[in-house]
Amino acid sequence: MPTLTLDSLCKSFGSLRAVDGVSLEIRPGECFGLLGPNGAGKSTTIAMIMGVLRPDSGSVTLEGAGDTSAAQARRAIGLAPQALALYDELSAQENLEFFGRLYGVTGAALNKRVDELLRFVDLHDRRRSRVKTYSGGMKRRLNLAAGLVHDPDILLCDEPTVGVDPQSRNAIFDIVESLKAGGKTVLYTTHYMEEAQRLCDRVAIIDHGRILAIDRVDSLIRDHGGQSEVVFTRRGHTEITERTDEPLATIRTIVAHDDIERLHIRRPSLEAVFLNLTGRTLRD
Amino acid sequence: MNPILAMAKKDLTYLVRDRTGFFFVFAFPVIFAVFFGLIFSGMGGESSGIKVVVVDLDNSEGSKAFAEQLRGSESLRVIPFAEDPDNDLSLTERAARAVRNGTVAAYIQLEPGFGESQASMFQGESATITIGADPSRSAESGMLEGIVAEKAYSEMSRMFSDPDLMRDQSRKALESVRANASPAVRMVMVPFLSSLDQFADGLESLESEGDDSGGGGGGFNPVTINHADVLKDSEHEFSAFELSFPQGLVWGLMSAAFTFGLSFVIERTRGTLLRLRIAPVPTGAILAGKSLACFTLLVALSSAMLAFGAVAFDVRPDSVAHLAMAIVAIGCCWVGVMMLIAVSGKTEAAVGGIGWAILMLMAMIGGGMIPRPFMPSWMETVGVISPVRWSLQALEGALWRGYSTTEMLTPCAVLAGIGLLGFLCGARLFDWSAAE
Repeated sequence: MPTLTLDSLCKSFGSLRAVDGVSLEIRPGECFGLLGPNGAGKSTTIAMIMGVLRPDSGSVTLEGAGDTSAAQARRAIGLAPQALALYDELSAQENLEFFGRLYGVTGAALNKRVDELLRFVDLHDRRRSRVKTYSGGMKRRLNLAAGLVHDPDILLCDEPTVGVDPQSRNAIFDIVESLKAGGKTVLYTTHYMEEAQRLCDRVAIIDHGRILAIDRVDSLIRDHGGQSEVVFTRRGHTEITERTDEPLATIRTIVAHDDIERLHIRRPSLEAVFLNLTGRTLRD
Repeated sequence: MNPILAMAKKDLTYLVRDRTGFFFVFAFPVIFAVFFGLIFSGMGGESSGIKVVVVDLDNSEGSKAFAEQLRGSESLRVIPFAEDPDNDLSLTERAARAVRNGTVAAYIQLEPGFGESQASMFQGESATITIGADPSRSAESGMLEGIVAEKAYSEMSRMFSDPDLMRDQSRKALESVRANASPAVRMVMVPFLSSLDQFADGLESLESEGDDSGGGGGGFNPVTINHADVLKDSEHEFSAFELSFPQGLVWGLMSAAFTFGLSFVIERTRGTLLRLRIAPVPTGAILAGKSLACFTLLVALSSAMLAFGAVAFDVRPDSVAHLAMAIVAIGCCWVGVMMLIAVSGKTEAAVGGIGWAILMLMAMIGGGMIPRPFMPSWMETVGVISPVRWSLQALEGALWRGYSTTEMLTPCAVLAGIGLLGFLCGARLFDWSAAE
């Protein structure tokens, strides 16, 4: 399993600096989250990783394959783009077979892989139906499968849950978790902090094209999330919120009184991390 | 703002900001109107009559005068045609080739003895004219015969209005009849020709009295019009379907090229171009794959349509090998056109507009709408860039114009050249960055 390294990547569109010195390393077998609001530079970064966009400066290298625009590197990377990239008039099976052939997968190996993938994304029963008859969630799952048809080491998922219902979103989470369990490396871009928190081993917070922080989720929260909040209510009183770095100690102090009606801890989240790093929320 | 007004404002703003859409709504109709206006107004007075060549095999004073009359006709556009010492073909063969190539609608050949026969209208054989018309232009051929006959009659009318000329003619004829004709003919013709002599005297006295009411034509047939078959194979019976199938097929080819050209843009707008772009396949291979699909469709369309024509309407090629050659060349050509359509715009709306505009123009200048012999010369000159023109020529050459292999080479080579150029330009201009 190779390591994907981005070194000081920069890309501008006219006067807009879309990606500004992004450096990161995606380690084999990890699910790496690129978390940022819309327009932060996530998709531009993905396009440069795929070799579709040429960076103004900096480089993207895949260990053992070099530049990611090389054919060998492309075979090692799969993409589930943000926009659905499927042929509506073809069936799921035909779509996967076509994309598989582009990567040189043919014959029995192709049939086997397509069959596996259709089962994996739970579309086997509808494999012969035209994609135009699918729901949004089914299309999203097929879009993911199309990125996996050549069995890449690394899968780039660019906002894979945009516009899908909660049930389909959970199905996509299950797929990504299965990929992680199977040892695949996943780069997952999203502007939903709960997705990053649930799926990713490490997360990079990106805004205005710049990486603000990279770490494990719990470390990011510890370092940038601020204090926890202990929220409690005494009998006959209104709700009280106490900020603390030591929530357990604070709780012990509070419960020493016997008139506590309700009590809970509000731990900081990635939302708070983003707020503390940028001064605004992810959905601004 | 009222929601209806808001909606209208939004849509109008959208239209104005979409430059391509704006062009096709406002500018293209003006260009179209001006273009057709120029064509139908004869481009500043240029004759738009039937295009013919005149072959004067008699080369007498009379034939030259008659040829001059034809040149003066507003209904005809006579293309200069003279002996060429470097060309082994006879004038007639060269004229027939020009008709077969579709350069002219017909040739008008003044046969040897034309002037002599015309000068002795009342004796001997009548002047003979041979018309070799393009069988696909039967309507023009009929018109042409009428125009030629009218010119011949106007010559007779001129004679009847000129007492000296008529007297000279009638006296010559009288001498000839007295010397050579049978008694029965002499009995009929001598009084008639003598009366003509008197008629000429009377006409002269009327003229001297200032009465210019003129004379009229007689009941003679001053000219015999023969028809020549310009096709090499005289056994070939031309049918209207042999004309309509190539025409129909060309429109089918245009539609197929347009559909494939548009599919590139659809790949881009639907995002699948990105998947193609990131696959470990050279971009040239992607374009080649698309082109191969388009070529296969074009060849299949041509073959199916012509096979249907053969079965249902007896549209059979003079040469199957030539037809295969034409179909392959046409396939190459329209693949190139498809590539040019693909790069003509970045949105489906833009390509939809620009693509059809290009195809319409090609059809117009290539003879898909207006027959080539009716085109102003500038338009026919411009038409050499149109694949429609060369496709029609190649198909008709193989189907019924009886082209030799050498004659087939020109349209086929031009078609292949257009295809190659279109493909290279399209591949060069194709914007892969739009797959971002």
